[in-house]
Amino acid sequence: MPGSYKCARCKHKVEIDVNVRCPYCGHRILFKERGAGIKDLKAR
Amino acid sequence: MDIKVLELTGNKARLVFVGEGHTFMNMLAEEVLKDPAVDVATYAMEFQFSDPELLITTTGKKDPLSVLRDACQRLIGYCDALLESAKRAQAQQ
Amino acid sequence: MDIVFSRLGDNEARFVLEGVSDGFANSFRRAMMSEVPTLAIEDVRIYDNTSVLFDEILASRLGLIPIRTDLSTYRLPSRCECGGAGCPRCYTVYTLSVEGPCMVYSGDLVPRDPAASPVHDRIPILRLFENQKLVLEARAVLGKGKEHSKWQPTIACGYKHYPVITIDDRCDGCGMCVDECPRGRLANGKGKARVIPERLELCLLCRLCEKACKRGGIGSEPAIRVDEERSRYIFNVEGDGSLPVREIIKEALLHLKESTRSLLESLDEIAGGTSDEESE
Repeated sequence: MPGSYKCARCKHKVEIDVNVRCPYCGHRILFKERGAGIKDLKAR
Repeated sequence: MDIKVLELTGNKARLVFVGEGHTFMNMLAEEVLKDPAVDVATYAMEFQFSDPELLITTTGKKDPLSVLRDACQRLIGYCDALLESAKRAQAQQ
Repeated sequence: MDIVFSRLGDNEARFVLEGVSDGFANSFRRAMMSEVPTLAIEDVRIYDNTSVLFDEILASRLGLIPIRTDLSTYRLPSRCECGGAGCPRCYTVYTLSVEGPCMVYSGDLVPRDPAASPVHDRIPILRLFENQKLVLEARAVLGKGKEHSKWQPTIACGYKHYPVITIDDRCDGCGMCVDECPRGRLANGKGKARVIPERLELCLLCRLCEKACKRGGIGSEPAIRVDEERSRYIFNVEGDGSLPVREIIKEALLHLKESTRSLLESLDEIAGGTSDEESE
């Protein structure tokens, strides 16, 4: 899913290719964003 | 109710009750045992969720299926009596 | 064969069941717990969940919310005409759409069928903070407690034998059994302990009074004896609010009756089958 990470410092949307690093500010902590898909679950 | 007959002779029956558990089998086995013509009435479940197997042997005066049928009639009688009595008790409240 | 209620409310009942055997009493208890259907949320469709709780935990919490059930409106999916495919007679839908910061309660679930609303409105589901959002759709179906405990209509459901307390002539009224009883069902009177009749049913059958009596130096046999009456039971049934207790009792008995009746039918088939074979 493109743009599925978010930089912890500059809050930019980031795509990870080879390096885990924000291309805008160089920060190395990224958060995984929730995808837009609908999730079906069993309540158990 | 689905029943598999494993063995059926004049004084012995082995039946598998598909999809039943202790709730029904315990009540039934105990009720069958009350019949004086019954020698053995017990059920076993090989594993926790496998179908129970009921074993009935009689002293020979009655055949196992009619023993089972009598037990069922009595159980239905109990349920009816209790339903009636519960209904009456609730109406009084 | 009799049921005598000493207490009967919507959510709790206490009654004496008389004239049945151990097996029947236990089957009755088991049937009340695991064979009476109620509604519970089974399928959850999560559109957005930016809260701190995982979707799976959230779904599990939703499933455990007790829901008011009208058994004449809903059917078990396995017994429905639609064959379990899903129709308005075998499921009902709830929507939930909340934005933080707030606490999400069971009352925030918007039911499609107002009769099938959650029993309590203030059951906390999760806490939302600033900029967090929860949007979901839930589907509740009828089910039985033997499949998953979220479908159990009872909370506490149990029985004990009816206590029989006998106090013989050797009682010297020392009062040690009276002090010992955790349920206060004994009293001292006229130099001899006596049972308070209205508290008799509270007896736990713990026999602490017997031990206390022996400690009083009466000998190896206590003067007070606690026995259990065969074929007489005190039942205590508590419902979770999804069904009134009187209905739980009725449905459990009907279930036992129905399974016995269907066994009887199968037996007729077996007997019919074997007699046919003999005639051939």
